[in-house]
Amino acid sequence: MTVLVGENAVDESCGPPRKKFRLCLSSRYSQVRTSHENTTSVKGAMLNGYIPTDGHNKSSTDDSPVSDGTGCSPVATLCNLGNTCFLNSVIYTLRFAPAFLHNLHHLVVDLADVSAKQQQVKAKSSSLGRNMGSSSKSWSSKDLLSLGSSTSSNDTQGKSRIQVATERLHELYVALHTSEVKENCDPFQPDVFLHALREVNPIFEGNQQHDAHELLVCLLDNIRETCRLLANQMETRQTMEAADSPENLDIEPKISGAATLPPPSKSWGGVRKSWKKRKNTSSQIKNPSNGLSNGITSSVKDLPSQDSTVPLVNGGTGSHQTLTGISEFNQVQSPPVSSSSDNIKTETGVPESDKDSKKQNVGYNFVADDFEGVAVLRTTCLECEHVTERKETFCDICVPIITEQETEKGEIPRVSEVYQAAIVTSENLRDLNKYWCEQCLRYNEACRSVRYETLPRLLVLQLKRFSSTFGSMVCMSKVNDYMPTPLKLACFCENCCSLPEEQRPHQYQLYGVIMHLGATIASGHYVAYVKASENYFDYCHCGRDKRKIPSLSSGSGKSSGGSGDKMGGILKFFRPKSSSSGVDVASKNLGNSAGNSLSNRNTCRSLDCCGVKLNSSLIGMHMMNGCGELIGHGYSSKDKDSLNPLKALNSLPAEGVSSSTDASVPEPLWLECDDDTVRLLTRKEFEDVLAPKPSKNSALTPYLLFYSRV
Amino acid sequence: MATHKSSGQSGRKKVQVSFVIRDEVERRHRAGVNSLQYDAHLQRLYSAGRDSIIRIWNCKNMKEPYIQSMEHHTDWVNDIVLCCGGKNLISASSDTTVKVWNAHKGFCMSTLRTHKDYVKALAYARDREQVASAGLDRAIFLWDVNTLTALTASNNTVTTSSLNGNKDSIYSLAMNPPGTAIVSGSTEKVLRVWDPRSCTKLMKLKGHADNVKALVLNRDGTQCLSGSSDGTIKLWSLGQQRCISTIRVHDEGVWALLATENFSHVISGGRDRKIVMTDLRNTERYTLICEESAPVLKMAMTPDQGSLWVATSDSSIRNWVLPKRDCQISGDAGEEEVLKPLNVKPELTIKGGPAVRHYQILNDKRHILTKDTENNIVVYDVLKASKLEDLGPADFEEEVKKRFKMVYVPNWFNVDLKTGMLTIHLGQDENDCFSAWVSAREAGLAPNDIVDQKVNYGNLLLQALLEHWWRPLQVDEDAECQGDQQAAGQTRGGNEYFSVPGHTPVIFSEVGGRTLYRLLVRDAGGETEGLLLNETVPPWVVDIVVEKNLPKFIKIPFYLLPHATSGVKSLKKDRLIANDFIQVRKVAEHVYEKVLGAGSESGSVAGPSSPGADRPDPDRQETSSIAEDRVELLCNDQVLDSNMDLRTVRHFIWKSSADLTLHYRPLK
Repeated sequence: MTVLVGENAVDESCGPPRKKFRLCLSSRYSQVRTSHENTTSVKGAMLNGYIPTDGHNKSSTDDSPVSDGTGCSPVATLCNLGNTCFLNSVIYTLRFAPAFLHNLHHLVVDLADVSAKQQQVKAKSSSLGRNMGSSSKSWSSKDLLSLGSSTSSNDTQGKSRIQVATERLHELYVALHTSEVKENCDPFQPDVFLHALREVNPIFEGNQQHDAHELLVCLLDNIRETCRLLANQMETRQTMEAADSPENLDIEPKISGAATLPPPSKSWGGVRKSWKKRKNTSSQIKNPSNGLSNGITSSVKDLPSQDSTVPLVNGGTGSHQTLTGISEFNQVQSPPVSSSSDNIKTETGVPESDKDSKKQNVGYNFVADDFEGVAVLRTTCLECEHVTERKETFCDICVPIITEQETEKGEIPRVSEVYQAAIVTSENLRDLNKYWCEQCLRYNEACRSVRYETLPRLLVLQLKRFSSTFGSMVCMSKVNDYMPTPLKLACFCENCCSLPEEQRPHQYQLYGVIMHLGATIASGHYVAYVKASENYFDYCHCGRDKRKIPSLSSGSGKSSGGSGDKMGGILKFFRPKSSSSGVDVASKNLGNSAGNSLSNRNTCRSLDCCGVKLNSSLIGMHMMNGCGELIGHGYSSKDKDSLNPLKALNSLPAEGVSSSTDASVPEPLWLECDDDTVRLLTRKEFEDVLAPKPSKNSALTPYLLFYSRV
Repeated sequence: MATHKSSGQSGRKKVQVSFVIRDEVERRHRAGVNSLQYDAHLQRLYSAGRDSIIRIWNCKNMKEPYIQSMEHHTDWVNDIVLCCGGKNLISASSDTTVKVWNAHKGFCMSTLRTHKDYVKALAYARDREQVASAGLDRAIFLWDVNTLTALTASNNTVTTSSLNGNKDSIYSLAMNPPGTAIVSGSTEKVLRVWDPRSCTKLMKLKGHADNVKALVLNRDGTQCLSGSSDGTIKLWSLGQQRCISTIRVHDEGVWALLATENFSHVISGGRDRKIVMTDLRNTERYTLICEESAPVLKMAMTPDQGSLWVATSDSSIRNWVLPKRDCQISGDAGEEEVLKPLNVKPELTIKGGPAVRHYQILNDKRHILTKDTENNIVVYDVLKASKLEDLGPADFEEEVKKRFKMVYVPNWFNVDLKTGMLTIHLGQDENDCFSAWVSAREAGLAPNDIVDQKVNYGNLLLQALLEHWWRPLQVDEDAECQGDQQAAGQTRGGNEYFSVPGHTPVIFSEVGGRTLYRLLVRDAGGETEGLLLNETVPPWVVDIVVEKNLPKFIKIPFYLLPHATSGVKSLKKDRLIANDFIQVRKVAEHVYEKVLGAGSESGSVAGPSSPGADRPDPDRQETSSIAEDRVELLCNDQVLDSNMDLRTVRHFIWKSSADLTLHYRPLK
């Protein structure tokens, strides 16, 4: 651990430009600033907020050695700023939402990128206007200038609040990452982000408790809008570039800058080349790789175009091919790939390969792709049985609490069916509420049902615990009745509903729960429970890296490459000659660092910017103490070769897979994130938390459930 | 005639007045046919139409089968049963009533109003002369037919037993002939069985996945067949309380079932339009009898079991030949064999008429263009409740466009096509009905005389509909003092311009609810009808028809300002109020007289305020024509035609919900 950080520091200090680029976001800002300080004076304001880099950079130089990390918490923690546990719980949960951090990172980076370029165009066009005011060209550029500055100017005032809030969220995650890297135990104060959030939505003003769900919706909305904003800016920029085509070279200073950078080390040359190649052909290859993978990647490349119309749920065939491509590729890289790793690929690979081309676009709206599903409201006239449909996009599903009285006696439905029964419902329109049938030209009874055409990859269920009772006073009362929280949830999209549970093509797995304690929505306390994971596979084969400055890539590549070697050492340390299984498991959990080192060429650098970095030693210890016996047997004895880090990584508990019955897959660990205290829980401990409590009123009750599709 | 079980229903809920624009005799069904009954003795077929009419057909004379219509329902007739050996017919309708008819003569004997929602199904136990009715109100009522037929106007209470327990709307009902078992099918998806003798629940049969729309019981009540919207037919053993077999021969919902006498075969039809006969002893053996042109709603077998009458959501009724049971043709349901229907053409057809499916109210809010299922375009005059012109098959949009006039008249009626005939509702929103004031001259009601009478469409129509209604109570009160006048007034009921056809059915009903009373315009003079009308006619109609009060004018507020190019300085921004039918000419007059010319004070009211006639004096008329030459009015910078009225200006030129603003400009 420490070694890695130390290595980083050394690496960074050796090349001055690289040091600046250690964090891509800030690097971009600073670059913009340096190049344009003269032209626009206001720009410094954009860095006015919290600057996470400074602390990190400092720490990398004067880092304290070896982990006494056992005293620290497994991940960086957040401070309660006074009734902000609603905020903290959501931030914690989103942090561990598969692919969320990664997507957010690229969004923010792209945003900064686009803004920077716009700034340059702006500067240039203004000078153009001065110099050759009479030419027709200057007219166009002037127009565009005004257009650009009106839609998205780069300084903080001009920047939309929405965009600022998204950037602040990213900065917050960067800060958390930083403090994890340097094993800083101090809780972080999310005040800068909170401030930005309040700017966007004044509802969160004041120091009251708020609805975590409301915040979540607001946050996702905010990011979605940011994505749109970025897409719009891209369009504007394209128009500008088209207008200014002769100066194209100057508009892309980063490319030219890249060219001037010293050539990277030989081992990375291949990668560089392939990146450049991709840039030229603008293909949709996701695996940045050496020549070996070319054949595979081409097959991958073809798929998205074929399957682009295939909806997520039905993506079976296309994605499978892609998957095999990926795993083949992996096999080439590191021979033994276990079945569990394949499964993991399924999780991350399916949606990604389907939406490949879309994802590569700047302004890719990942909120829409990951969090939004389509519900179908279907009305059947009971007379003529004609069906009319209406489709709606949703980002979470509100689940009514089914109390025991409502379920029929004697029939205890299976846990996962409880949800399906509560969510997939139908009602009859009758009595005075009849339905006007356009076929019968009259009012008839009708059946109105809600079905789910597609469910999002990341499914959010809100338990309807707060019901407004309108009496003498309007207040929100809470339903404390027990509702089971299954770790696995059968998919209930329309296709799946017709199949028996075992045959359904997808399934959902719990990755987070936000619990609420207290009597009303405006009071009480929120605690988030998340599955401890670095979501390493989200960062694999990231095609969006190509837009980055090559120098950056080489810098971070080198640094983490170097650290990788050291990590190998650590792994060795953790791996005893005998098959002491508990420690093996622990070593598996060193996901981030180990992964970085060995499959570096495949991972996105954003992992080192804002990714989650679990305190491995703590987890390792926990695993040994807590559940070593449970999962210890059989793993290492299978084949020692399989214990290479990639394999270890693939079976990272966090990436937990449906086939967890396999004894070789370790139990996932859970984190209890209660503001500034984060505690590790074994699965069993976590299940105890979720189990029904004897006392109904005092219990911490699940409120928001977060599932990801497997 | 119709017997009211209880008086004074016209209480709390708002009552609307409706009428149907139709021919005097409607010899064909105008919409789907929901139910059929065959009278073996007289070889007559009874059909219950969605056009609210039950028709009697003579099957001995297929050239001219129409015998009679039984008209008294006001909404879809959903089911009928023939009882007392064909003497009586009982019908259930979506107007929430059950009616008892003399089947031979075709008149309505009594009306049962116990249901609170559409009555969907009837069941009949022949041996006990017992009928059960059920509907969307979830209630089942048992009726003794002999009691029902003995009802008179004075002896009009029936005791009924009801079967409780249903949680959902009932769509089907069956009783075995001895009346030992009754089964109901509902959206609850279960069959519920009672013993009608003791009204005790016997069982609940679960198995269907959707609404149960058709039921048949065998004679001894041991077996039951059910057809469901889930597309299956299930054979149940009531003794074992379980499903014996499930028959899947339809692609969509099964809506009609028929069992052969000995319960050996079941004939089924439904949404997929196919009629299939299945051997109940071996459900693998089935025959496709025919494919109808529309979803099958009901089937009736001829007594020789040789053919089948089929009713569909299309208006024609067809007769199909049945195969002989003993020489089953299609043996083992060989795929290709089954696909071919046994009959390609029906044996007999009772042709139905077209149903009106689309309508367009023209801008004058008086004429309606309709298009029916045969694409015929017809023009109706709502005000006179009559058909104006048959355009035959034509382009609907084109015809509508051809009749476009730039006038705006407020809506004053609602159109309903559920029966396949044009039904007009008045007073679904009370104020609405009297919102249309028009010039009698322009409406072509009054000859071109000097007096420009303003008339109200709703007012005139209500008067015409109740033209023959006289009110004996009223006479008693006023006879003493004003006997002569009153009598004279009564004989001259209605309005002074026109009458509506005497066969027009008028319906009083609760808004969005049950029917209170239906009668023909010409029958309103009868003594019983008069009494019933006194009970049912809502106050808002009495006020107009009896009290002869005039509805209120609709006022439009507007601003009158000098146009920018006129050079006239406006002193203040006056807000004026005028009747919405005031023509621009009148406003110009006002401007000429009061604002620009002779008149000194700037008036706050434009146009005549006296209702009915504004009677221009000869000299006034002169100023009017002068004014037209001297002043022009503009709205949104568009010069206004002086014949246009204010509401038309507001609707077509102003196009805003804000107060209308008019500009004036003096002409040289």
